[in-house]
This record gives sequence, structure tokens and C-alpha cells, in this order.
Amino acid sequence: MLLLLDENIDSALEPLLTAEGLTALHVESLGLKSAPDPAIFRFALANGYDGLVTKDAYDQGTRVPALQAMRDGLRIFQVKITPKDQVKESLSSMADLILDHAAEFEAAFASRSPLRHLILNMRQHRITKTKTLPEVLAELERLGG
Amino acid sequence: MSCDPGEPEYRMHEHGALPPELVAGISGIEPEQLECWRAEGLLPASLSKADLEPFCDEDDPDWFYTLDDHARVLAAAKLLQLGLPAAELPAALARLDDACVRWAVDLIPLLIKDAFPEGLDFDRFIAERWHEDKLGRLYEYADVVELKPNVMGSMPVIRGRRVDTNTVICSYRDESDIEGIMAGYRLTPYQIRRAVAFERAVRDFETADAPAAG
Repeated sequence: MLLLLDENIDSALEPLLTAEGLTALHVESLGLKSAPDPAIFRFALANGYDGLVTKDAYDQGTRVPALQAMRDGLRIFQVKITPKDQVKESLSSMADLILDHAAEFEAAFASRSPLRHLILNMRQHRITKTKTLPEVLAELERLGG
Repeated sequence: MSCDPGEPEYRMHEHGALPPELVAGISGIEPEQLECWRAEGLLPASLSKADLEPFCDEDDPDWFYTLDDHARVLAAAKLLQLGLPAAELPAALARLDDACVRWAVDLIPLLIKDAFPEGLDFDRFIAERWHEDKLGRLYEYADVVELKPNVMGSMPVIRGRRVDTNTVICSYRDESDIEGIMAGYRLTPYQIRRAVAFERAVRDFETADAPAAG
């Protein structure tokens, strides 16, 4: 499983996940610092990444490019936090959340899996919401993407 | 419970209660926030949390999409104030959403202009508010903070980076966290302090335990 960690994800997560058998690379170490969202999506798809871990939902500003990337196979894992979650936003809890849900991640990464968008809810320490490929396609059609 | 009305320009009661059509656009609400809004005269007294729950995240009904909802409510209040008929609010808000408006309504006028090309006098609106509200704050912190439409879905980010200021403040409790943030996100202490100060300047933190900006 090859994960791309966005620039707003603590880079110290990279060795933590790698130590647990996942392959995670950070956007900044790949020379993508400050790259526009669509460039991140294109890079991930072109380089065989299974998923992008980010804190942005891409639900407004770059929604169409994000949906197109999901249509083309990219899984987006959105880490959802608010200032109230400060304490729970520690690095170890984020790593734990990902590792504790390894089975769900494996399922999402299976090549035939329709899952495209998962929310990592730091407050509840669980994956709370998903968007599937049919939903992605329907939304794209609605938006004229 | 603290019901900080914020700066004078945000006193919603001056703009009247919001119509149910607007409330229907709210996706998640915490009970205490609901009470704050009601105390401000923002929500009709006849609406209860139960009335609003159908619009919440079904997995997490108490999840409060603070920024989105606040932005939407404030946008609506301002549009009403600017003379938009209430009946046109739902469509107007939908257009704002589609116009990449999600984060802070006071940065939105730049985008509202695209959404309402023949409508309200947004140049005057911006000019009047330039130095007195959140729109002005972005420029005050522009040495460190920027807003780019295609980076992080147009959330405010550290200039030249894909690190949103929300991430910084969510990692920051006090000065002792700076070292960890520096290492994790490759930021300087100045960038961190400015990002935290910016977030605090544009948000309404009701938590009394939030320390002063470093």
C-alpha cells in the first residue's frame, strides 16, 4: 500500500507508518511543496499511489479535479479535525487510527473496491464516512465535470 | 456558556432572524452553538435542535462544521442586509458554495463578485469593510498567510506551502508545541506564531482555556 502524505500532514507520520509496513511518502520530500491540488492528484495517479492522506476535503475549491482523480482510482483519506480536537490530533493518535483500521484500509485499497473517499475522524477514532465510485460519478455528472 | 457576539459588525440581531430555508442549509450543529445563535437572534425561536438534526452528519450528529456553517449563516445575513430578497437566499447560498466559498465569509466578497456579477455593489461592500473585518485581517497577515483558489481547496495556507493555517492552530496549544510543529511541517517559529495569531483573529474562540496568541 503506497500512501502520499499531503503537506498538511505531519511528516513524522511517514517513518511511523513505514515502520508498520505501510509505504508512506510525504509531499514535501517529493518536491511538491506548494503544488496546486490538481498537480498533487496527477502526481499520485501517475506514480501509482493508492491513496492521498490530507486534511482537506476538496469539497469546494478543487472539488471537480478531486472527483476526477477519485474517478480515476485515487483514494482520498481526509483527516478531520477542529481546534477542539487539539489534544487528539497528536501524531501517535493519527498513526494509531490508521493502523487500528488497517483492515478497512486494505479493503478500500483492493483494486475492485468502490470506496474513494474516507474520513478519518480523530474525535471518534474511527472512519466515519465514505464516498463510493458511483457517488463520485454522479456528483461529477451533476457538476458537469 | 460564553456567547461572545464578536465585533460589532457581526451582531446578527441587527440583520434579523434567518429564514428556515437558510437554516436547512446548516449541516451540523452543537447544542451550545445553537443556543448562542438563538441568543443572538440568529435562529427563529421555534426551531429546535431536533428540527435541525436531519441536516447534520448522520454518523456524527454533534459534529459542528464551524467554519462552513458560520460562513454560510454570516453570508446569508450579509446578503439580506445588502438587500437580497429572502426568497432568493437558498439559491444564492448554493451559488456561493459552487463559487468556492467555504471558509470565511469575510474573504468571500472577492468570490461573491463572480457569483453575482450583475447584482449587489460588492466593490463598495469590500471597500467599507477593508480595514475593519476579517477580509482586512488576511492582508494584515499577508506576509505569512495566503489564499489560493487551487491550493488546499482555497483554505488559507502558509505562504508558498500546502500547510493550512487550521492545521497549525490545531497542533498548537502553547509555545511548547512550536518545536514539534517546526519539525513536522518544516515551519519557522515566526510562521507558526503568525498562523496561530491569524486563525485567532478570524475565529470566534469560545473556549476560555485557549491561551493568548503567542
